[in-house]
Amino acid sequence: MWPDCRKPFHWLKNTSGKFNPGNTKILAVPSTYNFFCFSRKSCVFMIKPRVTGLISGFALILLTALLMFSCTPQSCQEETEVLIGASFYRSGTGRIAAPDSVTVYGAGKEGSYIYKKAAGQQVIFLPPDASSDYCSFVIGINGIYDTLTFSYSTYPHLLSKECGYTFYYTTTGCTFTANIIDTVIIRNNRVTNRNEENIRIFF
Amino acid sequence: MKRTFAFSFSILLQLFMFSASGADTIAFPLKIRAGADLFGPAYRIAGKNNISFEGLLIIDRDTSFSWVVSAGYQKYFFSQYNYEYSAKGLFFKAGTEINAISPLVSRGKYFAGAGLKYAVSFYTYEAPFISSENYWGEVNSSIGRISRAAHFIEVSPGIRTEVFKNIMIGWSVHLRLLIYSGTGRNLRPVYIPGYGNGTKSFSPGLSYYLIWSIPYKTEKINR
Repeated sequence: MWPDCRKPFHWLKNTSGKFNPGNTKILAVPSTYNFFCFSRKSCVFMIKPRVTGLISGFALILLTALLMFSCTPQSCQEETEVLIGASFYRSGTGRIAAPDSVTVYGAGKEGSYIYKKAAGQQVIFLPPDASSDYCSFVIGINGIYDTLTFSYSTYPHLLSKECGYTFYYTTTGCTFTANIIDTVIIRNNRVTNRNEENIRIFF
Repeated sequence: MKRTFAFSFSILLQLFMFSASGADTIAFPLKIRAGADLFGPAYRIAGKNNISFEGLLIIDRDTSFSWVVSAGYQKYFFSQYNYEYSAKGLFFKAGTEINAISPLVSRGKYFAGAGLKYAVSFYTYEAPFISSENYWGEVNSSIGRISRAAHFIEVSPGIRTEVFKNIMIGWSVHLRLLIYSGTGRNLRPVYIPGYGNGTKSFSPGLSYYLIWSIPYKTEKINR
């Protein structure tokens, strides 16, 4: 009668000290075990390395994933300022042109300049007032001043968990005094943190 | 004649061996497992503001394949210098789980594999305080309570083992892919209960499970 070698622990226990006493033949071993005989009287079963390797591999993958996605706080990387981009164009030629000097401040905020006699500015960026539906800027182009008023609707926008919320705007209109400014065209009424061209000022 | 005899003997021998091996089977208990995630309550006890409870039910279909359903509740609060955010909601997940360990080794006691689940989170969120500052000064505002449903897929590789009879412990890493947050681009949720960071399309997580197993059927498998 062949012993049932496919029950490894049972077989080993029953034959402890007398491994394979009758030199009996081995029929088969489970596919998940390796069967090692060091001599005619000493044999052991071991779980195949591929099984232990599989479990170890899983544990390794899980630990790696944990390390990769740990809950380390991150800093704010996004652009948080939301600005109206205004480009200067010459009325006669229709070409983009930088005035010799540009001065900009918010209406009612004299002395708090956004630009002060800035040279070479083809594009300026104007911050809307989130607490109001409109805001006005005093713009001095080559020493001649005009007032530019924007009306808009405001809505909150989540930048990221780290940065929090900011306010975006949809421009609904633009009025201006015409001392040096000839025309204002709204090119893009969505004002976001991309700081792209929203209006064109012809002077 | 000699060849025919040898062939017939060979066939008989193979039939004998096949029937012998067919009789040599082991009983694999298919189980219904009910468990709870201990990581959420432990996180709460550790002094964090967030509350999370999740229970799961695993039903073995065969020796390697199981059906999984889970449900949970999560409450989240986050605050920093320029905003406060809170969210709470119920989430439900359903899918499958595959055990990569051979049934001969696992015998219903060990699991090293992965699950794939589809999940829906029914949640409400609000931002009671928002602050933004620019040239014109500081503006304070708020976002009222909004109710939404988010959909996501969860892949969960993990390991579990039986520590006492029919009691298992183990842990899983959750890799979640957001399909739809339920909101527009502007008011994306900072956090979705059951998912995680709602501003990212990928969110990882971790669970530590305590599971009670109830054998309901025995399947015989060949060794």
